[in-house]
Amino acid sequence: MFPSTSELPSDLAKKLADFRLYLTVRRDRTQATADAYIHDSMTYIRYFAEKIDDSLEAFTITPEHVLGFSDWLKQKKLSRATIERRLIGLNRFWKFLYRMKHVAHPPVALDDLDIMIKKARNATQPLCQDDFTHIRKVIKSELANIR
Amino acid sequence: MNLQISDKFVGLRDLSIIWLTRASEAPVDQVLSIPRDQLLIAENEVLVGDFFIPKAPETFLEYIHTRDRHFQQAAMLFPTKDGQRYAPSKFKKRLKSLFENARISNPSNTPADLTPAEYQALQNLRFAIQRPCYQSKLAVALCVYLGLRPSEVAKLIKEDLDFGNRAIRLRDTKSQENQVLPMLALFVEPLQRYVTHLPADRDPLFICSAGTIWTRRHVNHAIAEWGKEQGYTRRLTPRILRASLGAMLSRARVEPALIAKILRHRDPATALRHYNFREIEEARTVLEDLSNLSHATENATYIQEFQKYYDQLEGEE
Repeated sequence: MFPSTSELPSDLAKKLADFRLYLTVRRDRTQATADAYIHDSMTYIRYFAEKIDDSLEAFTITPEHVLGFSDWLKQKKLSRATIERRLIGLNRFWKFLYRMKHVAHPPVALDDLDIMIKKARNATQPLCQDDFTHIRKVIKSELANIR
Repeated sequence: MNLQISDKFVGLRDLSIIWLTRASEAPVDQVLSIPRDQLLIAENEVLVGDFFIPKAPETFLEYIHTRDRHFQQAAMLFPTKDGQRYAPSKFKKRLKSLFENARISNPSNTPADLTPAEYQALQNLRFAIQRPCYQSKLAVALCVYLGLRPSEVAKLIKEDLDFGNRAIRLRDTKSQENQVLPMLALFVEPLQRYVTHLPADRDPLFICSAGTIWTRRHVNHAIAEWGKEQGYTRRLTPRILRASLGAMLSRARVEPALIAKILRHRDPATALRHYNFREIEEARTVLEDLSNLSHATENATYIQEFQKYYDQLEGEE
């Protein structure tokens, strides 16, 4: 369902296109960042179509919907980082829509919604010194074989 | 054995068969029947069965090295990938495929009948055969020695390598700007040799078998496979290699600002946050000394030493 924005109702597709423009021009984000936020927004749209209104005529964002979206993402067994990522992206879209007066409810921070996602990410552990030194030695000699 | 090594083995093997067939003037059947233990190599001179050849090409030496590393049990000099006897009919089919790859039209039927130009065209396939392995080594080296990110490795093209100024240009990095890194001495000759095989300045350094440019996923895969081949149980990633370089620089007491410059962190605080091994290790030294002194707390002299170290700790904080 809705693999691309071109399959959305035209007004919603326009809002997403305006959002992209807002991110890249007003907020000076890269295309890659804008793509990521659009992807997060599309995920929410998919949830809305699946659980609330499949025609998307009543599309909106409210705290209740965001809570439902959060639960929906958790059921999909996505990683914590991914869920957090989607919610942050959605929040940004919400702020934009509210500013443009496309939704009635002002955005609410995730903390205020009482949504907590524990961070499971650990810092990258480097190799031990001996292993890394050995790798450096091996790869240096292997480079010499390039002909 | 992974696909990359397998393909390299097959390619080098067939080029070596072509070479030995011509050099020895023996028929293909006879060359394919030579047992492994009838090969003697000494300073590039080769004695194979009854054939003495004064100078073996690098292709053959590289083939023997690959075979000895991955096919220690095979009985024949030129086995199949499965270590079995290589049938002449199969070699004939492979030869046809090699002719197509080398764009040789109307080729001779046997290696002995090849014209010098045709033979050279086949030998020129060596780079294409070995390129996947070369790419892996280059990718690992760039991450290990320069801390490149996987997308930065994947995007490199021939004209990013400035041999005159000994620099490597990185385009459109994570910091959304072009950056320059020093081309360390160990990179110069291998990269010069590598790019001689790339005709156009905008030719990418890293491509897939289909000819498309690598993505960061290919870089991640290549490094993981290389690590596995080397026997590392922990999966190697560009991120781990980059972090290891940062840790090494930190232990070598390189200033955080310089580490940030080398690793091209947009915010120098990132280097401080991730690579503060020096501070941790200095704290460890002090605390270890404290532990050694703690056994003699009844001695007044040691109590004074204790106090001195605590004062020092407080001072550092």
